Amino acid sequence: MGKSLMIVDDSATMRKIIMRTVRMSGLEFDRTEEAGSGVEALQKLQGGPVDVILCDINMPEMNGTELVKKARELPTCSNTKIVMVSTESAQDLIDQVMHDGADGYITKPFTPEKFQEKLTPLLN
Amino acid sequence: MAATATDIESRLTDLSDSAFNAFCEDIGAMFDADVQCKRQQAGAGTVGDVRKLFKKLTAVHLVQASGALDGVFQLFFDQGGLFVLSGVIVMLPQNKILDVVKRGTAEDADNLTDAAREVGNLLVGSWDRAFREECEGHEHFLKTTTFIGKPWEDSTQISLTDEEQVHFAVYEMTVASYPSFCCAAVFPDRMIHASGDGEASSTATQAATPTAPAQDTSSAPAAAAPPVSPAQDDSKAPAQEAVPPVVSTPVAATQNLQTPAQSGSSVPPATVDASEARTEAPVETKVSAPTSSEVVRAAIPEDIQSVVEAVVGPSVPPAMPKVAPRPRVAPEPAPQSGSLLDQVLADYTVGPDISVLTDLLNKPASQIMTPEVIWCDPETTVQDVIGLMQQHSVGYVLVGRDGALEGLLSNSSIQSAVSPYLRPAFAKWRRPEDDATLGIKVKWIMSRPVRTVRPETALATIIESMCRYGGRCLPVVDAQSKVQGIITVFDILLRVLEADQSLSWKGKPPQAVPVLV
Repeated sequence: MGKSLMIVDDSATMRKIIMRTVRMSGLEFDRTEEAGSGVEALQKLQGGPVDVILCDINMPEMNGTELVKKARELPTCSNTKIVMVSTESAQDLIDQVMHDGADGYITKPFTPEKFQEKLTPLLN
Repeated sequence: MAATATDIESRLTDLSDSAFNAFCEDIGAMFDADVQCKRQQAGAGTVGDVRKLFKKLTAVHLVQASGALDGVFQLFFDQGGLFVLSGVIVMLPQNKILDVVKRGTAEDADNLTDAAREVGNLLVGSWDRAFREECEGHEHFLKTTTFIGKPWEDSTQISLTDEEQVHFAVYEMTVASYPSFCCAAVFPDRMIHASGDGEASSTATQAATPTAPAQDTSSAPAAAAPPVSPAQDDSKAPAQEAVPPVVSTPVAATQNLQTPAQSGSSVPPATVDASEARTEAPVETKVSAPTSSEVVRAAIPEDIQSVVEAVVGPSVPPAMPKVAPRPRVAPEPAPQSGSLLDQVLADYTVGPDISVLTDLLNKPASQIMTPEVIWCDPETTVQDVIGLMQQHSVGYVLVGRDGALEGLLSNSSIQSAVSPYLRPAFAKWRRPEDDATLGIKVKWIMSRPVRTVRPETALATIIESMCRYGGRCLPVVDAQSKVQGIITVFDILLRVLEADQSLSWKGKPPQAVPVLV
């Protein structure tokens, strides 16, 4: 059946840009939702699972790294693929979030092709 | 030590070139626009020289650098740059962008604050990557604050003072067909010399530059925002403090700066500075002290040495990676035995009507599809396509030119793309940016590549494909790639209803209701 996507970023503009880029990549999601912080994302995740989370790292309230750790503790997120989307490109940070439970990492600026390249293997 | 600082200073111009070009490539690829920049001038002077270029509304992104460069530097965009880049990333209509470029007010800028900050984030992402590739010893860039307004009313807001010595590189940037605008990278001299002086001056550097933010700023409480007006705050940024002027060593002659608009794009870049000449000079002379280069190297910290190495043996910057184009039409999935559908049929024990269902599942797409399809051009705006959907009462529109299928647009794609504040219930909160989402072009939001089926494909395979891949609409395309019609889930439901003789359902299949805004 169709996949679901959650975009977590404190910037409404960036959430729209990511949404648009995902669409341009040709990936199809039946259900998409947005969250403006890690806290809001966790609340939504407790209500039900999503297949893919695209998550910023630097956010107020709860950052993306914390969100990954907490989401992995939720039974609803056991199969959720979490991909970080950030301007941070330091390898040690990337290694850390991957170690914490992220499934992928996309640096900003990004392109539709990059989304397709990173997300397609996870969706299959 | 002075030689090392000079090396860094001259290298900065090259690095700025690469970083701004990387930004142009990244933004161009991200928003499918032609973005170019050309260096107009570079050199050394005072903040007062930079001030001449940015008299109107300006976006200033403050970037905390660590590693080979250590301290805060500034990236400036003039009024045109502020509005063009912010407008493009939120897809404001072209006429609106052109209007605010000419007559934009502080209120207009305020409305685009979030977009301007994101431009800053993307910019710093590109800069970070360019430096990571070309500057050994580079560790990290972090955008701490985006200032929007007239920076010179209180330049401490952007961590600069009028008489401060800086190294700068000024560029003319163009985005698509918009008027060119001016942007600049400004590196305070205290930062360059602090880097050049290495560890010995690291303490002084920390004292002279704003407090370095922690790498992870997201958990910083809102109360720790920088001391700028709320409209200018960057919610992700740690505290910034005004920086007292630091008198540094004299630099090359102050340059007579012109804005790109003043100089005109046809004028070749005025390479004014001694720093460029230094770049072209034999590099060995830069690091060779009158005594022994080994002595110099021994005295230079490792991270600075790496910058020197980069100067001694400058590597050709690798081109930004190009991504292969995607296939336009996905291959049709092969029918599979033992599939989900077989399982459903096996469980279907209603009785004699099973044969009707079996017949139905064997029907070809050509007998199920709706042959009338609505097309639109990829350049069509969302507003126009909504009108098209409403006029024809359809929930799906094919996107393409001359019968060549390029994409598929559904009402749910449109609903996701346009602002929810366009709904009548939110009318009182509706803002110009919300209306602007109606100007989004179809090509940006359409689904592609489009999964298609052949006219002879059986309904069972079609259902299988929809279940497996999640689409609710499949164009029917013949061997010559000509679109014959479309099949939606509503077409299939209608055929199921029609197959039951006890029902009298007739008529056009219902479709998802188009977006109403």
